[in-house]
Amino acid sequence: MKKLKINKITMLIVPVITYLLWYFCYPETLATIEANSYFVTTPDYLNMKFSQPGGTGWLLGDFISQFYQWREIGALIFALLTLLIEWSSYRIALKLSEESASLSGAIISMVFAIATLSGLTITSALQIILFVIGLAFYISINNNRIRYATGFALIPLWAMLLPNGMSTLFFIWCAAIEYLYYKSGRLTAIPIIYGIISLLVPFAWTWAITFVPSELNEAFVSYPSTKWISIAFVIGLLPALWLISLIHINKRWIPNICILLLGIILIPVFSMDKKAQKDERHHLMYALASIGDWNNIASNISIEEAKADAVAEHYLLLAYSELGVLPDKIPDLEPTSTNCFYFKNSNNVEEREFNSLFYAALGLYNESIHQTFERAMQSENGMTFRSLRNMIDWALKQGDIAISEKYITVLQHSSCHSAWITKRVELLSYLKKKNIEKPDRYPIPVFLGSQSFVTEMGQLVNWDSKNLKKIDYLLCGLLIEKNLPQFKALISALHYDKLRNNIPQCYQYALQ
Amino acid sequence: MRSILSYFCFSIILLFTACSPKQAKETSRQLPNIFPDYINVTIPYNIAPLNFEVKGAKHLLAEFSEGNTLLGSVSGTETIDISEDDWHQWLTAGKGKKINVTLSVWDDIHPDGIKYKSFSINIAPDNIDEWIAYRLIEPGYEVWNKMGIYERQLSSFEECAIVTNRQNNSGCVNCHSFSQYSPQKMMFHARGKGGGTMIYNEGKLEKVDMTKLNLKLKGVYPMWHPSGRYIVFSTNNTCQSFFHDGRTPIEVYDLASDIFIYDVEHHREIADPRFTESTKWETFPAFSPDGKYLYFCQAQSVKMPQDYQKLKYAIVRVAFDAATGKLGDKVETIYNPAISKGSASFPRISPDGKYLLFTEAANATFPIWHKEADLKMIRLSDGKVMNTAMINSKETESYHSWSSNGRWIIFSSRRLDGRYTRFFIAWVNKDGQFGKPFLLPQKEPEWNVLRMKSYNIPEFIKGKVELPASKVANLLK
Repeated sequence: MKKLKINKITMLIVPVITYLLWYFCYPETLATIEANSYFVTTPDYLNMKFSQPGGTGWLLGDFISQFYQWREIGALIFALLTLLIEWSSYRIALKLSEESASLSGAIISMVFAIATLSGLTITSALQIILFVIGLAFYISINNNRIRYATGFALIPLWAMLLPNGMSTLFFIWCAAIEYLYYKSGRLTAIPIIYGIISLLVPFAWTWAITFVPSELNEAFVSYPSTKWISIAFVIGLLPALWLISLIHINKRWIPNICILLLGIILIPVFSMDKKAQKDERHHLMYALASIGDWNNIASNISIEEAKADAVAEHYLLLAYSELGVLPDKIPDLEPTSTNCFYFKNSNNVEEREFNSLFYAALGLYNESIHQTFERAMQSENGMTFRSLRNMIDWALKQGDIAISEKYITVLQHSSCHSAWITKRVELLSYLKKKNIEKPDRYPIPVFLGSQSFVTEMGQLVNWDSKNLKKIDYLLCGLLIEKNLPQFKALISALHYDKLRNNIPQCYQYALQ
Repeated sequence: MRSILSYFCFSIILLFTACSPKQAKETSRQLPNIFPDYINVTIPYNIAPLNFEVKGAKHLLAEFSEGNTLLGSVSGTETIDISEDDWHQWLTAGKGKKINVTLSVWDDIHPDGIKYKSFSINIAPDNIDEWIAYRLIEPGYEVWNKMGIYERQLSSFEECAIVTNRQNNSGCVNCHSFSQYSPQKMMFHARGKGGGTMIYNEGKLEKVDMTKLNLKLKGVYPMWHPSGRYIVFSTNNTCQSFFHDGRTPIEVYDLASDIFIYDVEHHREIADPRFTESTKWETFPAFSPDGKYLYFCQAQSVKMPQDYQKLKYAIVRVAFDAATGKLGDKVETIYNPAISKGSASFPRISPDGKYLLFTEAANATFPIWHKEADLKMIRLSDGKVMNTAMINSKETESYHSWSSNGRWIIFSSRRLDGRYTRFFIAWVNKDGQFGKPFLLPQKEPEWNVLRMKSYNIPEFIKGKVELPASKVANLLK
């Protein structure tokens, strides 16, 4: 009884530490999981999920991802997933060696926790957990007939929840369990047959549903995105548990101390993961920029960080522009190209998200929407909550009632947006009464994205010659390009001295 | 025994009371505000039910009648969902007549119900082709996610995929075209890794890499010759630019375009040097239904994108000899932008050869992004411009097709929200007069809003396409 109690407590160590580390070290990353996710109960979305093998598992992953908008819940979900995998690994390990079972569970859960930090999607995490729970369940059934019947029942369930490769591997491991643990002899063939049926699922699926992947690994390994972590996990799980079971532990307290140490090891692993930290910084920058907290960005990003990290540099310059101090501060960064202001012709997701904020800050909502729409297209679902919310807000700013109403209707089919939508619906009702139509303000529009930054900014200033933000971008751009004649001509033509109380120092130097 | 009988009778009475439709207490002389707007539309007798909704309603009652005969009534919360069997029965019996719909609505403003003025749905005596094919794609700019070419049975709500980009490495599938409305003879392009032009001919599927043929020209916009022997293509170098502001976010344009003919039987390309030189741009080719003429859009080249407002396409036609695949000498101008001040796209001749239907925008060649783009029609015998006001709106109207009997057109429109293209179907009589168009019906009207893809390139077909999906995937590897 005492040993069980201690096991229950020690089993919580890794999950609790996981919760704390996620919550305190990576809160913005948690929020970004929700921002990049998408779950709606629209026919097209549901059809996309249900029409492919493993699609229901993907749907569940997306559903759970919604709750990451509350960081406490996101961290809790990660902790619960860690606990689940620890418990299921423990149950499997119990069959191999009682004395090291709790240690086995803890080691697997620690690896899982690290995997979540390394970019394992919620869907992949869920599928791994289902896999391990399934194995734990299978190995726990002593009655042969019930075990084979359970395996048979799992074929259609796994077809819906897991990628085909995973479900096939599941039955291969079941066969190994039959042969090595239950000594079933020829009856080992039964789970092998189940595995073959699983393997044929994508082919059978195409008869009933139009799903024909041109790349077989899409359905086989980890649809929609292949993650080596998932593969490594499901292939290496049982061998790892077997290896750990070989460790002879003669003192009861040893596993408990080891588990505590494993939990402690997680702390530096989590807090010193450079990539995860960099991503967290970028997520924080986006979050601050999206709410217009420019002071916080300016004070949070050092010049050294901006010089070492292009994304940080862009956010810092954007903050300077919004605070009206761009020409005063830009010399500290010593930029060599006007690409420091925005990411030109980028297909990178993070860079497109920055670009959308850059253009929104200039009031160029057409281009903000363009950038965020393209970012959404690059996601697995073809849309993300962040993109959809942004498009609603920017369409409302443009007075585009019809499209914002459409997007709001779509968002109403998600689980966690009622309060957010209520505010927008109020604004929408107000706009409808005002009968605003999106105007064509400029007889000759400016084309964005196909010309140099300075040319585009020049054309924008042409139409908006009192806009200090655009003027400073243009003048700073000219200085970066060392185009002094044009700089001098423009600063005079625009009567810059009348637009601002003091001429920035770098402008003064250039005018000398 | 007596008490059991009493209870039984009482239950029956209760049941009937519960089942009899409640009646609205108020009446109104106004027409109801329904979505989609099916008031006074003209429909074929073999179309799917025109289900509609009233937002915010707590209860609806729709009574369908023909003359003084009540055909049936349908009730719902926010949606009127008509049984397909009943609907088809009513329509078949009512060919050439009208169905009157009287709608009563119970909502917060009218808790005791309000009965609106009846509206009509006109049933044309003409049927419509059984299926349509189209592409579904996000109305994006540069990249896409999932897309495919789909087909939909017009008498029901059945929609299924012909080919999706799951089958071609997430590339692009586009420009589907059918020979004489036949599901047995079609083509489409697959772009990206393993791509090519897929031609499906009476059960045989082949992939053609046009860049490996004699002229190495890559086909874009296609149309089959009615004989099925030729396909005419344009070949386009397409770009796009993004507007910083305004109602039009993007301009898509060609930097060059030409036309050529592909001989399906002999696998060779035929080009006329007049229509492959660089000072003029040719695009959107279309054969006349009798195969004797080739129509296409033509413009003087300009500097793009700066001079996009000066880019105006005319519609011209040239004779076509099906025996040799050659084009005639004379090039006639059918639509002249110097006179009309617009720019034309998608010339389509009615099956009886009488009318030319096309899209007119202020300039350039990709009208779907032009809010001012409208459908126009010319009577070919005398050049008379027909009245198309009934089918146009304040938003974009663009790609269109004729049904095989020439009595219906289906066209793309962004009138619902200005961004997502939806299909409207309009009846047209032999005199070129249009009935009020109706939105392609859906089982749930809200699906028109919830769908986050645009409908593209509607084409009528006489039957269901059954492309072997695995074979397509294998060819596109």
